[in-house]
Amino acid sequence: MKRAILIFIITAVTKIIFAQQGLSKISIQQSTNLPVGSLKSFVEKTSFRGFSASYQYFINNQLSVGFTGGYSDFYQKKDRQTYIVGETEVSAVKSHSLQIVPFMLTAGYSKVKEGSLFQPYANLGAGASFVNYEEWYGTLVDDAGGVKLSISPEIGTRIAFNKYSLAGMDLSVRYNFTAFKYNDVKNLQTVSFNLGIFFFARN
Amino acid sequence: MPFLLLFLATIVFSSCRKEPARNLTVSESWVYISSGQNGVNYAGFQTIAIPDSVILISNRQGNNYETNSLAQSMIAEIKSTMQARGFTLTAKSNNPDLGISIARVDNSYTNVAVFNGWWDPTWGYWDPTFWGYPGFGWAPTQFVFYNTTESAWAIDIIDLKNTSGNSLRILWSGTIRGEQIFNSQAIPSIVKGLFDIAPYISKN
Repeated sequence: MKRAILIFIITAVTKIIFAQQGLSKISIQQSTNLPVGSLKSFVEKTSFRGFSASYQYFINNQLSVGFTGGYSDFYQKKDRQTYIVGETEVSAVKSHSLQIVPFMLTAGYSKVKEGSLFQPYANLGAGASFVNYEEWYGTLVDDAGGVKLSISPEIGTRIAFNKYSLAGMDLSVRYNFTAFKYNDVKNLQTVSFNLGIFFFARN
Repeated sequence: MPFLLLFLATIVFSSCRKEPARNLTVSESWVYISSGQNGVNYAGFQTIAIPDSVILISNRQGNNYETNSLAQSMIAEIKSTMQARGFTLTAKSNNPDLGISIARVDNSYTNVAVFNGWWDPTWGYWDPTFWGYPGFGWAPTQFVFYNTTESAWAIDIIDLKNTSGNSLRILWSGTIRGEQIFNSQAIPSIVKGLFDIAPYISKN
């Protein structure tokens, strides 16, 4: 009987570490964003000015639901060029600026093997993003934006600091799609590499 | 707790933005607009008349004619550009083929904004209780005035050779906008920048 209780206690303790049900996970990551598709013609360069923050609640050992917010900023200054609009020529130094602030509901799946530091996962986020699009000719701006639909699948892995830790590194790759059309930009597509930390909190 | 963290992270990181307007040098801020009728053969024109004053279009100072040193620099620069392009300068009374009109646009607009939001504390006021009205708040009364200015050079080339009908034709309109364009030292660069995108205005 005593042995059974001992085994039960040990199992319960380790179960707390490795079972995810009843836990919430908070994750904050720095995002490196690469523009893809028609967005590349607007801003070409990879941006390191971005972050992602998410909250996930585990409804059982594999499935979680929650929400994600974030921010990314793209900027590019072009050399002086002459642009032709009908019978008018405009010579200007153009600057392109874009900010995307997503806020999405996410659902996630992650299968954890006991005793492993690596905890891979796959998420799908759907929601919307605040978009601010600016096309500058010198100091004259043409801007557009608004709240646009966004969808964002993600795969990644958590790397716990050690076997018993409820915190660790969180790295993931995400594809982001936002339905925003203006001028030459047909949709906003980016691929982001996110690196940060996570920690579990008991509910 | 998670909301607070997300909120804080948003505040901290959203200040991380490359501001386009602050990332431009003065010369990068210059915008040149060249608007001309297609198919005009400038080689067919010989003489050009350029007045000795600049038209001021301003809602601050009233419309007027300027002959100050800035106006003189601009006129001199346009004269030398036209001569370099092969045209001959002549007086207005000498039946010139083309006329050039130079205007300086300097408008200023005052706008009012009213701040109504919860983020705007009414600091520096007695609480309404002091005035004998406990439980009262403040009606929105904060006004902010801000100025926007519109600055530009507008240069027009007028056809004085083919004057049939009773209206004069403007063959070409050039506009220069940007920072420091009313600085005499900028004049040679901005005139060159403008006429560089209209190389067809030439007798050569």
